[in-house]
Amino acid sequence: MDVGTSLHLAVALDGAPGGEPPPAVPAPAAVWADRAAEAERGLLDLLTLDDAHAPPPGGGARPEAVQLAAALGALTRWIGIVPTVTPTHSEPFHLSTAVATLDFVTTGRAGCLVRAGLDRAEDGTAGRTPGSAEERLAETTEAVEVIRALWDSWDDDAEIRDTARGLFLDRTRIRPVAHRGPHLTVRGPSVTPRPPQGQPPVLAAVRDEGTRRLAVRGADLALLDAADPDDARAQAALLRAAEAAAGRPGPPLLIFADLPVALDGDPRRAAARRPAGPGAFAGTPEALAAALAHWQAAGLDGVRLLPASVDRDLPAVTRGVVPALQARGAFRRRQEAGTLRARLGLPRPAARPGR
Amino acid sequence: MPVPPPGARRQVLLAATFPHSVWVVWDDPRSGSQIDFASFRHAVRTAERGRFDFFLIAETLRLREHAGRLDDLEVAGRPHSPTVMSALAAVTRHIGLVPTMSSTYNEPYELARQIATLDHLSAGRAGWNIVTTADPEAGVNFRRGAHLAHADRYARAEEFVRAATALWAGGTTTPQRHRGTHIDLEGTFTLPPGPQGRPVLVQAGDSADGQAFAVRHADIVFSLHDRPAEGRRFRTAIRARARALGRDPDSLKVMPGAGFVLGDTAGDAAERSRDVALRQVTPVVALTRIGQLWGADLSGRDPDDPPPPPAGPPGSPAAAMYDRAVAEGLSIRELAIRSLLRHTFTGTPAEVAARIDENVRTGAADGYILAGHLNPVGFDEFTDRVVPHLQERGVLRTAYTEGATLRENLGLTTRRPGVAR
Ligand SMILES: Cc1cc2nc3c(=O)[nH]c(=O)nc-3n(C[C@H](O)[C@H](O)[C@H](O)COP(=O)(O)O)c2cc1C
Repeated sequence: MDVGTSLHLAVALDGAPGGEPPPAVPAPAAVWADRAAEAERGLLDLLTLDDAHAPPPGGGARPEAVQLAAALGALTRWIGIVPTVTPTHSEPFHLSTAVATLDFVTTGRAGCLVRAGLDRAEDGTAGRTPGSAEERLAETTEAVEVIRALWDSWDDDAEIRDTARGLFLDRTRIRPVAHRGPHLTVRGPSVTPRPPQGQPPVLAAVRDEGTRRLAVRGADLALLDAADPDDARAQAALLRAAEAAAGRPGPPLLIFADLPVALDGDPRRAAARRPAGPGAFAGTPEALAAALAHWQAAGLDGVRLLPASVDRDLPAVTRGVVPALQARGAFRRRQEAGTLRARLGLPRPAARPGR
Repeated sequence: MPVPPPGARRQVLLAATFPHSVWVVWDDPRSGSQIDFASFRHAVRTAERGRFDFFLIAETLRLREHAGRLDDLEVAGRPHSPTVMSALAAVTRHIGLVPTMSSTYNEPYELARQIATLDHLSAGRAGWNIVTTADPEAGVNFRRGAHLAHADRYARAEEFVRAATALWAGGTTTPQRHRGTHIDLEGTFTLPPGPQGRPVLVQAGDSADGQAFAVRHADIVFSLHDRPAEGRRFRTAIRARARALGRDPDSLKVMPGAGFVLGDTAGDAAERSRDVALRQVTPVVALTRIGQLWGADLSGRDPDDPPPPPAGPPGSPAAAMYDRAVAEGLSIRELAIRSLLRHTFTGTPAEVAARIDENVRTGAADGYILAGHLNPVGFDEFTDRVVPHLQERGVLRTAYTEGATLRENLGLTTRRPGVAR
């Protein structure tokens, strides 16, 4: 079937909130590789890595997501790798070079999931006091602008290696970003060349009006919490209206729903592990594949599955749900070459001076 | 291999740094990308094949500029240092991984998490090369904005390292609170202590403040003093200061940065060194670099002419360089080569191995942080040709100890005792 109409599938490699707590000691890279390889074998579009500047509420360890993403990026060949970043608590300049570096590591499979650090437990870690929730959302939106401008501060062909003239760079193809906003002043240019995708996809979770505005202004892909396909349809309509009101340039937001899942060949065993959260699903892989058709029909581009148990439910997705979707002609059957942007159907943008 | 048995030859510590920027010969057919991950993977695997202790990459937070214009002559464009190291952790097994990160333009909670994550991912192979950032313009890219004065940079580094160390030690169970002039931190860390206790701390900075900071906190001083006599003086002084603070001087290793050029004979090596120097300091590079030091535009000049007198005051570095050029009859290009460039080790592989061994044996260094002049193949020749000689001499491991951490590989078997306050 036409891949363009195929559903996109993402997986949250940290599992569902309130699911199994992470281990107290994070595993070395090789162990993480098994999970990433499982997701990759299942032909999933991308995996996300959660993050916060505070320990997980349920206990356990929390590695820094970009660093973990880089290790997974080096161990995989195909899947998109999307760590969470928090620009209110991190410098946008560092985040821009870090995600660009991840894009080089993965040869074009990086993205980032931006969050405004709204949790007060993190405040003491930022080295300064972030503002009100509203200001944090505004600052995050501004930071995404800066991060994108830094990615665009080198043209793709700025490195010329002109041996005749002894010039390594064409300096006319590298520009400061000269950003002066209410929250940030960043001159640039980046110290990292433009990443392979130009603009790695930016994801944002939409939970209310503030985060909806952030997604519309800054993201390529929105993650919704929706109770059911009807709710998803209503929320997608709100997003489209917000896009129109904001006069959003470029392609419309891709819209995914977040679905916590517990999967088992025996639906009663799955039900016993039913995760919390809107849209939660407990049942057989085949039943989830059937349910996904309804979510897709609600106008979604894809779903992000949040496994109640990564070690149990991720293989159930890759070995159960994916084959069932393939049998319905609703999912790819092989790895397609190309970048994460290309897989998501997003064109590669040219570097825009003064963006 | 971590602790040599009694009577064994003193082990040579070896690190490889990915050559960036100024002195990379980029017009060579073997010269590849300075940013593609494949280049980093090749360089780190070569160093691991050579049984090096660690791989280090530098950091700059601003593209090099002069008089408001980007420098277009040198290799530019580099990765986010810890992120590329975390990726390298996944494709290596034994070699230490040391990103360079500024204590001036990072926050301790975030930096400590990045390094601790690298330590867990690599099963105990992480280090941190602590720099304070000399470029006064770097601040324009960060919330802080303005730069900090030299003394404040080291005062911040001091508070920063104390806070980071406490976060690493406190793990996920002990909340931390630091209120200082420069660091204001409150929170519980998100990771338990890593496999090597504390990541290996490297310090790069040569002032009195920098050295004082190193003897308090560092496991390794990344020094500039690559010449044997100078190196011996520096290492003796650093060790004495460490001892005075109650530290075992052997817990502080001194590793100068060093370049190398090899040849099949001594004459061949000298010729290659000359050829590499001429390619590193092309006519346009010579005019630009000396012009920058002179504060003058020399672009119209003939690089083979003697330099004009600099405008600066007598006693300035430019004036001293000019005096040298006059005394030795040097052209602009020759002056640039002689004063800005140094191939520490030039010779046949056997000669270079012998000199490294001798320098370490006679206390000029504990080892070297080597930079080749080609990316990413700069260590191929060293690993293939010099390393076997070092191994034959019994001063470099022939195999890594399985499961050893970076700290153990460096012979720093114990966690450092508490910092003197
Ligand atoms: C061997 C060596 C390597 C250094 N590498 C870096 C680097 O990669 N990035 C950086 O910002 N500064 C680097 N520095 C600069 C120092 O961190 C420091 O800011 C500078 O040397 C000024 O401090 P000082 O007066 O104590 O030397 C390096 C310094 C030395 C001596």
